[in-house]
Amino acid sequence: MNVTISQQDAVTVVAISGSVDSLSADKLTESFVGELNAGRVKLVADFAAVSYTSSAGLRSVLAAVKESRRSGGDLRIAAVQPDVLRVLSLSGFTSIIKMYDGVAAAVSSYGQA
Amino acid sequence: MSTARSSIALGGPATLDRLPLLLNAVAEVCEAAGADATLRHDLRLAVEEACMNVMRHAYRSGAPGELALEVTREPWQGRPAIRVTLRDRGLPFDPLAVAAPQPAEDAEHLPLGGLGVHLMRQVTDAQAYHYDVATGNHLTLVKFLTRQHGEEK
Repeated sequence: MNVTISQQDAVTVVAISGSVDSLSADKLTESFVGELNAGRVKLVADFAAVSYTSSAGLRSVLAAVKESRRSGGDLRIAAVQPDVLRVLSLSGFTSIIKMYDGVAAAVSSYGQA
Repeated sequence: MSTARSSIALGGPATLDRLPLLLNAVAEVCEAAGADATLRHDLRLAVEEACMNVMRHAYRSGAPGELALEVTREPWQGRPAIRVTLRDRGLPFDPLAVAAPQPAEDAEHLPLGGLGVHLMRQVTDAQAYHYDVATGNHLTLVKFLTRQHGEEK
């Protein structure tokens, strides 16, 4: 798994690629924590290149969702692939996390009310 | 010509560093069986969750105990299937008896306990568990290689 972080105006895009599993989830958590600790609380997780996530990845995402919301921000997910979307849905995440077809829509969603 | 095997058995300690080896065995048998991408995905997920359960919870602190895995292409209830059996000698634990997480309306109340076991059950077609005093916990996970009419993935 690789994580690439970029800034689009006030929104931080965390682009993830590969598999988020029990071996790699800590690295993703560290990336989220690094951004949140720096005060960047409007996050978009770009899932376009994520082929797999287990419950370890889901825990990492949920922790970032909770912490960002407590700080007045959010973590929104973009471009989820079908198998990963099924896992998010089975886990109840699709009803509590805002999801978008692409990164641009997720980023611009922060500019709306 | 593919050299993937249709049956693999692995023994060893229940340690996180062995997870890739165990998941590779599952992938190899899936490849030999011609399983599609979704089946490979689902079986990988189910086996990762099952392995992590053993690695994290089966043994008390100290030296890790055993986690043996067998993956094989073998009919289940008369249908072509891939079957994975995990065996450990840790504390008796039936993951199939764990209650499914309750739906939540917000992130603060989304339960994470039991999520891995829930996913393991949801993405496999059949599961079986038994405990034997001599040999420990036996968990079997099955994924059918063919779909029947009206059946979801």
